[in-house]
Amino acid sequence: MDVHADGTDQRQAQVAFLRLKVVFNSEGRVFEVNAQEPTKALLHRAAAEFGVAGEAQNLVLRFGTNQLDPETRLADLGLPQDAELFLERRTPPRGGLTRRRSA
Amino acid sequence: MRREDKGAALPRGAPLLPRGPLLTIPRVLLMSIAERLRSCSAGVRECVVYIVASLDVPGTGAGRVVAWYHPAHEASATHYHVPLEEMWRMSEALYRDRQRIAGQFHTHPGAAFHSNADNEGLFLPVPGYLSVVVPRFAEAGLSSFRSCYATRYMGGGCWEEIPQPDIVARIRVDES
Repeated sequence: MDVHADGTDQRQAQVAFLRLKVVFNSEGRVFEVNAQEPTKALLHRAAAEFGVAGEAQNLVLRFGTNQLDPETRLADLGLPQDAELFLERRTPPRGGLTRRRSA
Repeated sequence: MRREDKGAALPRGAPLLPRGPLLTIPRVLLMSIAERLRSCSAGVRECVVYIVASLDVPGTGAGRVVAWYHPAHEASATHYHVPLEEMWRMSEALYRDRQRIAGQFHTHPGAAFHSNADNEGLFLPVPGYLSVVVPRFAEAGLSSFRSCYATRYMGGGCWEEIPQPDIVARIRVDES
């Protein structure tokens, strides 16, 4: 692999910035991201952009059927420039009678 | 509304929130939701149905329910569980069709209320998300929302309980 004068390799240079669409609640917004930043940075930025920053700990980013590891750098994921990421809950929707909380 | 009390009702003496309708639902859709809840619950298990609004309807007022979605789910007499894969399938279909989940109806075996699992297990943690709990496996239907419990997620772990007599005003049934 070619190494540039600044020490970055060619692959890193090619994916330095991505324009990714993040979809939440059926609405999509485009984010420009530094491919070297961890996924969780994009997740928090997206949660704030969609007005659910307080819920960020309950959300994950999904590409296809894969949940993205928050600690993974986007550059490591091989995402195409036009990828659509889904911002979704971490746990499946559920309900039930257990652990009723008194009002 | 107390931030730390998930599921708590408005405290006594709190200012009243606006009383306009939160959403409008055509009666034909409401009746079909009631029938699906009743038939799926079959008197023995909880069931959930998500109500869908369109992103293409102009205006920022009360949403209008345009469809409903009955997800594949596991259930017993005291719980339901929608697999993540089903949630993802729904999400992609909704995005493709420019629709959004506006809330949910789900059944309880007995009285209607919001449990901790109900508070924490909603489809989307977005302010305005409406949750209606239908008692006794929806065997009495949804006419006038009798004995139902309704609440709206306000964000940050807070819920606004809709007093039972107000439900018919906050969820407007469109007869057309």
